Amino acid sequence: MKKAEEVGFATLLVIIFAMFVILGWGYAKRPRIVPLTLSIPGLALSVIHLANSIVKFKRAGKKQQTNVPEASAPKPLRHQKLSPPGENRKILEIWAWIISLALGINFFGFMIAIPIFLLAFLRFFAKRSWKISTLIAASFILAVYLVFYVGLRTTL
Amino acid sequence: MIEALWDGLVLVFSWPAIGYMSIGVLFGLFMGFTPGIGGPVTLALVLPFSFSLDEVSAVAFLLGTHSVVVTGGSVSAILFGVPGAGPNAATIIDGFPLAQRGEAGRAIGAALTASALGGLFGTVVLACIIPVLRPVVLVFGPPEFFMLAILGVVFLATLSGDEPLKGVIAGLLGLMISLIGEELIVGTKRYTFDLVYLWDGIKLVPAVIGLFAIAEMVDLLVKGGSIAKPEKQAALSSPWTGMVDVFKHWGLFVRSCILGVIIGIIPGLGGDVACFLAYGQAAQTAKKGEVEYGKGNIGGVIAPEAANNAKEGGALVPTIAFGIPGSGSMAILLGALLIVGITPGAALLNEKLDITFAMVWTLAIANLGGAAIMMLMAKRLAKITFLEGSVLAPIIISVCFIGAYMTTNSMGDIIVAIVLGVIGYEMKRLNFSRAALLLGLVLGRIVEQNLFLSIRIFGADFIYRPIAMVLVVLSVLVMGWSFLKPVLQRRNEKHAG
Repeated sequence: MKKAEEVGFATLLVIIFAMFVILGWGYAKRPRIVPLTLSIPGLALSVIHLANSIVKFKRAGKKQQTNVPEASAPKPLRHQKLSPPGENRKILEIWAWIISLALGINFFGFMIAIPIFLLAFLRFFAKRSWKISTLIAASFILAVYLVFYVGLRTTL
Repeated sequence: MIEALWDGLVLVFSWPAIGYMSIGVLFGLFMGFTPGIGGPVTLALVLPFSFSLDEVSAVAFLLGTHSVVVTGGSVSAILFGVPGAGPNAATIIDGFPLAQRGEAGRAIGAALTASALGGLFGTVVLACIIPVLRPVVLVFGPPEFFMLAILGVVFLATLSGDEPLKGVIAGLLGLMISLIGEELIVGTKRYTFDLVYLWDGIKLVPAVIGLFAIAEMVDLLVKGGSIAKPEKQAALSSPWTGMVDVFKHWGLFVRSCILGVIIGIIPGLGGDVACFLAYGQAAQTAKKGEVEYGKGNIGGVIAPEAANNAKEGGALVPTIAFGIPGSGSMAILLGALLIVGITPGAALLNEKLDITFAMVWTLAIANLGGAAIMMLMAKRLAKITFLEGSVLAPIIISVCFIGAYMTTNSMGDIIVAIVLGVIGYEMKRLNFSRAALLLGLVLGRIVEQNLFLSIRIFGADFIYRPIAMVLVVLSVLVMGWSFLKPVLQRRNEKHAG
């Protein structure tokens, strides 16, 4: 799974450096000197890295095929680490929470978005009680208010 | 001169100057400790309060606040992997892994001791160098700046560990990201996609917050548990162990201080460069058998923190002598000095030498006082690393967003923090060096600007200036050693086997 992730990230790097090269070529002579001097070797190195990652991925795939067949493999125990699909789901969930906080700040401001985020996150993700979640969210936003609005006389 | 030294001390300890300095120190520590809200932001916030004060009280308040921000920031860098200010970014690289091993107390002790003594070092240099200021500052020009930045880039190789290809790619990515925005000589908007926010480029603070803080918090939430393993709590390391570590690594400490002072004296290079150059030279001189740099080597905390605080003394040099601020914070300080009636230049080096030495004493006393306060709280602060991550992480993420937003009061900074957070998290999972990316981000613009200025002023022969040549030779030696070292190590291991 990690090998596939490596290939994915390596591909992303190639795309990013290729974009830097293609866009850089369109600038005037002076502004493009340093960008091209850096992005062309960056592209070359990331292509090499991608090739390495693909080779490692294929080798890992071949190794898996010669391993014990699936039917006789032991079933994972409940207390074991999350399987890759489970871990990926958790990662995506966490990023969704973070992005929702950013969207909340954009539409409603810090003083509304942050306490709602903290309350919801602590209750539904961290599985804390309503009481603890409310206490932490309220304490935090009170601290923010006292430090920034009262103490520093600045608004967020 | 001796009389001015004594008069300066008397001025600092007089009332109400000593009171304002104390308030400034406490405030600076708090702001530095708060992730993302450090450096120029802190000074900008306290500036209005200094207008109604007399000269000495204003200086004591502002310098007292400013000199301890980085000290406070080192603690949040170690405990949470979140820099209090840009210059604390390098401390995260080894400081946070130390906290994860349950050695947060030791790391904090080392950081605070290195900060306090580094600040003293910078202060002593400042005091000694005042009579010979002009020739020292004027000897550095764009060619020297360029070569110093190249030296920093060369250190990328040392941050790559055992996967140099990944490290170099990360460094190049950082260099490219630094070029986003308006090119300063011709004015071309590069890689901005018609977004006005990107005209000013990617700011360092949101980038660091994303790459390190948000990435680490996401990792903490995915893995569960706390920053440090609960079973390590019984053997919570003492901050005094860290203090002893600084004296054990005295050679590294002195080298880092010297580097910090030199960087501080040079206007325009910035404090972020000092911490990474110091870290890079520390990693280069790692001894065999030591913990690998990047995985919790105490030297990785001592070097950047010593350089950070030593540079403050150095940064005051061009600011008070010539009115040339060496950094954003110094620019704000310069503005404040002018408002309260202190004009940088000859007067400060002659008739008002006592005010100058009052600044020197303020730096020294504030550094020591700030470090002592944090040292007393270190062990309690270290216990934060044992709190449940699912409770700590959302609070830290919220603070990070506030810190990122305060850079330019723009949602763009929060978006940058999130995007770089995603990249930083993947880099952490796939063993890419985030430090190399950050170093590239810090140095990219400096390399480009000074390259073109050097060619413009001196032609292609700029490289033959004496100090530039010395730096070229040093860069070649550092680069060569980075590639030779693993080869020699493998050969030694083979022979030993």
